[in-house]
Amino acid sequence: MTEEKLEVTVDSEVRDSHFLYTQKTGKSKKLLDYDYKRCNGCGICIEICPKKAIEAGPLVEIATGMDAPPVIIDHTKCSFCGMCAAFCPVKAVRMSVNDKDILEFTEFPHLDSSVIFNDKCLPCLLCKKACPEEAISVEFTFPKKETVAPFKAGRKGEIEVDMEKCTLCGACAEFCPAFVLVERKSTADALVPFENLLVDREKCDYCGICVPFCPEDAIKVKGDFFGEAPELAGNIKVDNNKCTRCGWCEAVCPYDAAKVTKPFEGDIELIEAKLKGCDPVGCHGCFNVCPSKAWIIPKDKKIDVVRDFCTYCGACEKACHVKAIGVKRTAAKHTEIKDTPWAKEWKDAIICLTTDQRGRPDVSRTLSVEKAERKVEPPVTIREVNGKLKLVDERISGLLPLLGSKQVRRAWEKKDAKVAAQEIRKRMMEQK
Amino acid sequence: MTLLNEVFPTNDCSLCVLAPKMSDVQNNPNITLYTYSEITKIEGRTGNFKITGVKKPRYIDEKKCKGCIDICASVCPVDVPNQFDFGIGRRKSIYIPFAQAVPLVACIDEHCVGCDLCRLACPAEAVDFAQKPEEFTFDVGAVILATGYQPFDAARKEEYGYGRYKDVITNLELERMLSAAGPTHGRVVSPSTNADVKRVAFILCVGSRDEQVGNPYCSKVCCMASIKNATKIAELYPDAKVSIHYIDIRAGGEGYEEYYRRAQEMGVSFVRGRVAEVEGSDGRTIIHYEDTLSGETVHEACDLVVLAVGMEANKDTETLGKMLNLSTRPDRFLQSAHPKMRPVQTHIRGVFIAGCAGGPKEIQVSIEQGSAAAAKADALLRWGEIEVEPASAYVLPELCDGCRICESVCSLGRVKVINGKATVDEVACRGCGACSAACPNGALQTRNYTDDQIMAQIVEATREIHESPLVIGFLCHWCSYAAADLAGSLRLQYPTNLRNIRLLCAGRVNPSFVLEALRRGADGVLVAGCRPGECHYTIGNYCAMQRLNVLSKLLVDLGFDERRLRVEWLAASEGRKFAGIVKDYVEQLKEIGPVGSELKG
Repeated sequence: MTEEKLEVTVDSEVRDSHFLYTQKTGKSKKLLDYDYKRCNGCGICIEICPKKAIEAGPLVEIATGMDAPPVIIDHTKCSFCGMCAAFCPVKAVRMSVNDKDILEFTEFPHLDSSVIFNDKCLPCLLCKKACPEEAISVEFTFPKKETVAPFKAGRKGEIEVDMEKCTLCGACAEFCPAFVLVERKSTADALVPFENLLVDREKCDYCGICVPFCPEDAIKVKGDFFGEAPELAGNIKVDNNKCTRCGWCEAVCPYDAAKVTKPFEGDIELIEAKLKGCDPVGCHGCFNVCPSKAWIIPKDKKIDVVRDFCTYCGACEKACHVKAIGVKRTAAKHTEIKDTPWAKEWKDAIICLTTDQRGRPDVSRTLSVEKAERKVEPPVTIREVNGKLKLVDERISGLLPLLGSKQVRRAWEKKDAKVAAQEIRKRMMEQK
Repeated sequence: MTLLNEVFPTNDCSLCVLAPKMSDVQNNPNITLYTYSEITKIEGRTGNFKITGVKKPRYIDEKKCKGCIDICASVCPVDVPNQFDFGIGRRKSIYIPFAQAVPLVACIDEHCVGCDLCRLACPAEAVDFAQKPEEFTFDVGAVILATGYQPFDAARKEEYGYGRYKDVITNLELERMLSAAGPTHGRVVSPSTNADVKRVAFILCVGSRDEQVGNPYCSKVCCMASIKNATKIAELYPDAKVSIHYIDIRAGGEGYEEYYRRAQEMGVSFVRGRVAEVEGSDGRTIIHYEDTLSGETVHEACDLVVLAVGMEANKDTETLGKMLNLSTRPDRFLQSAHPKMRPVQTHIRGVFIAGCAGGPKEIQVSIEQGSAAAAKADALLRWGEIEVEPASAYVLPELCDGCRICESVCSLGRVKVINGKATVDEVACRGCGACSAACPNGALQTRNYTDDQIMAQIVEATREIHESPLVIGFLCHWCSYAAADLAGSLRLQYPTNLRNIRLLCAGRVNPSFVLEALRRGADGVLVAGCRPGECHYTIGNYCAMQRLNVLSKLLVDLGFDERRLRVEWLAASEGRKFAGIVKDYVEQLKEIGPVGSELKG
């Protein structure tokens, strides 16, 4: 074969928190991008990797503050198949093939999950502010109060917000600077990101536009109204690269506007017997790794998790130094497994997500043995041609050409030996 | 055979012998070769079989692939144990089984992860991930099953520690070690250390002649194969100690005994007695055995223990056998039409077996059988027409009312109701008569075994009763009638009270025959057929079993002693058993008294 083999080169590079591994051939380029700051150490990639090329770091220490990558990818073992990227629940591993993300290839399945906002969305600020990953952006398209009815100083009136009706959606504050939202940090057991809605009466000119503007009819204004209220409108967007499908948006939304489909179904349990050693405030490991920020310290309990928000990634289980957490996945949603040569291997990886049983070809019985050394024969010594040998050669070379003669051969075979020898001898003489 | 390194008794390289044959097959214009394919359905009958199968996707365009394997495989990241090396070698997920494979085309297996490198690497652009399974059908006149065997799973003999101890391997793995093209380049090493062997023990009859694992039969080749491999090791490593632990050495074949002698002369030691256990301790592999010739109990450390695993019936053969309605023997191999007289034919006309599909045998015999099967198939097809024995069932259409009972009885599909009348495929039907025995109208008859003909025999047998008790026997031609015959030729003594009526199958016994015999004064009726699973018509004895079970319950309901009807399942070789049964039955009937004596009122 004169054909050239395909040259495959693999390189690695560290850029900020990203480990970048590239596999290049003359015809292709694959990039495996592992962002260790984004990685929460759930270990799914370790389980499913067909090459066992990924190893866990010191997950407990990392969960409690050590600055190190939770997993280590051995790029010399890696096949650049992209399974880790396809099934990373927090998208800490990304892979692109010739600059196209593996998640865009239909030939390979990947985790299937979504956040969809329906037309009940106002939109408002609740989910945007609550989102622990800052994955939601809202763009309001309505004109502000200044534009619709510029502030008129010195006007008198009364304004009151009925906090019974108010959902703290924050639309009014977005519209008019007279409304001030008192923000607070959302937690899994108190999702609403605002504590209160205050009215800055200095900035209110009692124009009354906020009354029809409020979606809940919660604002009451007395005064001389002017201006026309715009319609509450806008666009909401989710950055799928940041979103972990925790479900906070769905839970915080008073309008049922968000629908979250999680990638996994399963169970999470706290093992009471092991909780003795748990120090939730000091350790905080599970809090730190949870992509859903689902952990809480309730009043009546040492520690708890809000199960509705759990994505069953399993990172907390691995981060817990007292092993008090058990996470079991019972189902994994994924895009279609197309009929391809690699379908079985990818299916196995998906099955492994719920069974922790990863079938890999077992090469443990294979032998690797050096070839036996060849016995070396003594080298051939080339004898110098001495006078005698030359003579031998001369004589024989006289006879050799005669072997091709028919007459000689006939005599050789059929005639009396004496006669034949004589005849041949004669010819030899003639030749000379 | 390509897996083997060298073959006894000539020690020639098996691939050198076989490779030219394989390419001959591929290049013969009259042979279509389907590889990487599976037969899914076989319909029809002799002279006209329709075969359906599926060709699995190789994901390689066979026309483009040049078989230069190392270019695609060298970039494949997936390591897989090589089944061609029985797992002791490695290959990639894209592979050619071995360098001389036919066709010489790569194949991607199920372990592919989809990295795409092979497609990029292939200079011929032969990799095609979009390939799908393809169905194919073709028509043939005859079928030869030469589907081989599967090696016994050594892990089932737990006491030998296969799978637990690295240094315990099978004889077939050793073949791959001995092969210069194998994973060890022809070196025989101790897997735990990778060092050349110094002490090797062969354990024979692993999974053969062993009731414990359900294989009481001898696998025939393991003695010779082990002797061959032992001498190979003795040649390679003159200082190594090689022993063979045997029950009996079976070296019956041309040049075999001499071969055995030569091994002894070369210093291979033969130790009589089964090895009790292989034990791993402190990284050493120890065999425990009793040398039955010297009576000593020996515990010896070995660096390689070779298990001579026996042959088992192939699972795939079983599937194919079912498609063709072939019967299997108790040892699960395919049954020939007659073990002595018709060794390559089967009960289904136009279907032949060759080689280990029909039981363990060595290469020579497999070649003989292959040649014989080919000749038999040729003889069958050459004339373009076939003679059929006048043994089939046939229909009297005027009596048939299309009730479909016959159709349900004949699961071989030889009787079908078409346009309201039963129709028999008289070429395929071999006349067991199970349908005739079930027909409520007598519309289905079996040639030469019609209801009238059999009834006439019953009438004659009971016309004058000189002996008491009188037993009417309905005997199957293939087993119990032959057993009765054998009892005669063995000069066995048994009572003369039995009147035999020969049928082709116990399935032919219409309940009316039994009732008629009893009505005419027979004191007992003996129905005897082939042992379950051994029916020459596959279904006949099961039909009989069902039918007679019902009948005997009804006889009891009618007040008869249940022993008036006796059903037995026999093999042709069981002459002694047959005589015993008759003797026992006559004794029994004497005890009960003449027929009717048990009836009250």
